[in-house]
Amino acid sequence: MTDFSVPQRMSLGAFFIYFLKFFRLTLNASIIYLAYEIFKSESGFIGNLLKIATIIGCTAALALILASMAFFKIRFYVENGNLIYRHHLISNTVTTIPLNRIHTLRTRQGLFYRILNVRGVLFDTLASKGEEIELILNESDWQSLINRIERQEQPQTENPEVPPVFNPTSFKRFSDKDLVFDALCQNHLKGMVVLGGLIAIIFNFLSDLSENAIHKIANYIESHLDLFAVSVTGVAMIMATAYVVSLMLWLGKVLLRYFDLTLSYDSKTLAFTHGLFSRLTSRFSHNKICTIWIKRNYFEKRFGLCTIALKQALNASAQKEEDNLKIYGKDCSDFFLDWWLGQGYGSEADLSTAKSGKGVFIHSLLPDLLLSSVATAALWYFELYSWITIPAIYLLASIPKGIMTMRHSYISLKESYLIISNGRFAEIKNYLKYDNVEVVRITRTPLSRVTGRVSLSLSTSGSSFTIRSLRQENALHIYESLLAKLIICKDATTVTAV
Amino acid sequence: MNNLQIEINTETTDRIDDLSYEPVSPKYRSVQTASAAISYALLSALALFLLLSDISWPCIVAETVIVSSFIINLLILRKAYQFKGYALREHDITYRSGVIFPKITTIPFSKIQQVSISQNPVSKFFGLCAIDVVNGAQGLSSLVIQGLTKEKAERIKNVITQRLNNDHD
Repeated sequence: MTDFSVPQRMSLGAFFIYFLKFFRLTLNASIIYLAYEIFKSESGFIGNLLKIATIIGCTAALALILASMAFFKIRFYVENGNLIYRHHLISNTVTTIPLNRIHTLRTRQGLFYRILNVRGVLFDTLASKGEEIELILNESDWQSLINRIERQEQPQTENPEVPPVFNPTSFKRFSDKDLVFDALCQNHLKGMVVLGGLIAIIFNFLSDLSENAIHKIANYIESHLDLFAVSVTGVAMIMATAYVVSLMLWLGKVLLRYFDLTLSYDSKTLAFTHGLFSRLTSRFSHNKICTIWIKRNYFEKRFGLCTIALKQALNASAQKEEDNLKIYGKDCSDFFLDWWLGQGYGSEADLSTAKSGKGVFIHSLLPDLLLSSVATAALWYFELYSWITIPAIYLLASIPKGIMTMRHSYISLKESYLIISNGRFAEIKNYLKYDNVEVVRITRTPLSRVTGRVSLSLSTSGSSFTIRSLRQENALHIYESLLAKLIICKDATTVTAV
Repeated sequence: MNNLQIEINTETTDRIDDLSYEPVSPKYRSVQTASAAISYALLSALALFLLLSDISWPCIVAETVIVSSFIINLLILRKAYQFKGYALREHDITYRSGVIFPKITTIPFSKIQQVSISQNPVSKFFGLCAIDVVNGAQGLSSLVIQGLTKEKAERIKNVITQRLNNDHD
């Protein structure tokens, strides 16, 4: 029985698996060249067969070299509670994964794996970027490795992969009338971008049609040019029509996805069921939620509505955005925050708050200024002077947008959670627990020496935030407080586990 | 709550703005210079293809731009080296880098998922390594400290893995 205490290679079957993988890869790369050689060739059937055989032979030889390099240069072992994986191809890399950080062991057994009686073992941690490590082992090595891991792994009080038993004790139904009302309060201009995308696809499709069809369309447009003459009123009408269409599409999408939204829940899990034709279920575990996102724009505030999203922790193997759900309707943010942060979350005192300065206004204005300048220059070049009012209006509109962005941008630390506020015209509040913060960063700009302002970034396993233009002393205080809170959270977890 | 700095003998402190940063190896300047020289030499060789056209001035302009960029790059790399540094405290690792936008990043040990030590052919020639500390964040998911000697990289890795394994004791 292998004990994995010294560096060792994978099972011999791994060599063949690597060979097949590299052969497929190199063959895919050379297939276009192969096809080109055959079509241009005038050397007849035998000549072509020889060419195919030569190219396949070269591909196989290359795959053999690559497979040998991969097989002989990869070694792994288990030492001091860590899985250590060495690979020395062009660069030398030694990756160390503490066994207690492995939260899922996946195995892979495709057709060739079964023929060779091996299995691919993949180690998943919570790392979102970490490389995927696959060990190809025969059955006895796999059993030995799993025994070794089980022996060395520290017992865990709670297995994060085992979902808590869901026994819903309460139910809540969201009104469809409020859903439609809140959907109408959203920014539908984004829908017009989608519409623009659809038009681009249609245009792309048209350009793929035969030249004859395009000529016919071009002739038709030419003969009816008067009807297509663009006036300001015409453009306004087209825009209004596009807006109504995008509004209808948006309403349709929201109704299809979120019609008859019902929630069943207990203290550990929220389960949503929704959808007009096909009913979808989204489940959120208390310990997997990393951010509660709450948006209120002007209309939502006025009519007591809000949009809520629950963001879950993601890792490298998780499907991004798949589980994120948006709840449109009456403002029920207190319900979700009470459930996640605990009752009385609202009465917690501010430990520290830092607001963004004018830098946010400039940061928000700069891209709009650039875009407007380019558009103005283009319109000036084509002598369309009256149209310059459009980029001018756009630039004017970006001034209140910048002011609102600056007003909304702040970070506030409470006793057990923090709030990051952002948003442009709408106010967006992100609620996070300290334990969800994974990394913090302070970035200075070339102007920091003059302004004394810096950016503070923090990232969780499901979302990232940057709060710009904070006073340096406030940002450093918050930076340190966040790290201190993380130590307290870790100590509390350790005490609970003991 | 304490978060004292470790690994540095000069002065222990527990605040991020007072940390004494351990500089990366002086040989790292040579690694950066060599890497930049290789990249710019390749670019310069590519620019020579412009000589295939009838006129030669585009090639001269391209080569001039490449050489001036290389000189500016070397000056920036010198500044970048001076600012680079790392610090280990009891509960976290901090890395300082950047020239135009200098940044300080801290990852608590409890959030680290895996650690890799790597050497590319250039850094191997100069006997240096890079340590890649990977956490579970969506953004800023990895912190790479370049220009470490093999011993220092191993020591940092050992500190981190010991902390991670002790978390479960």
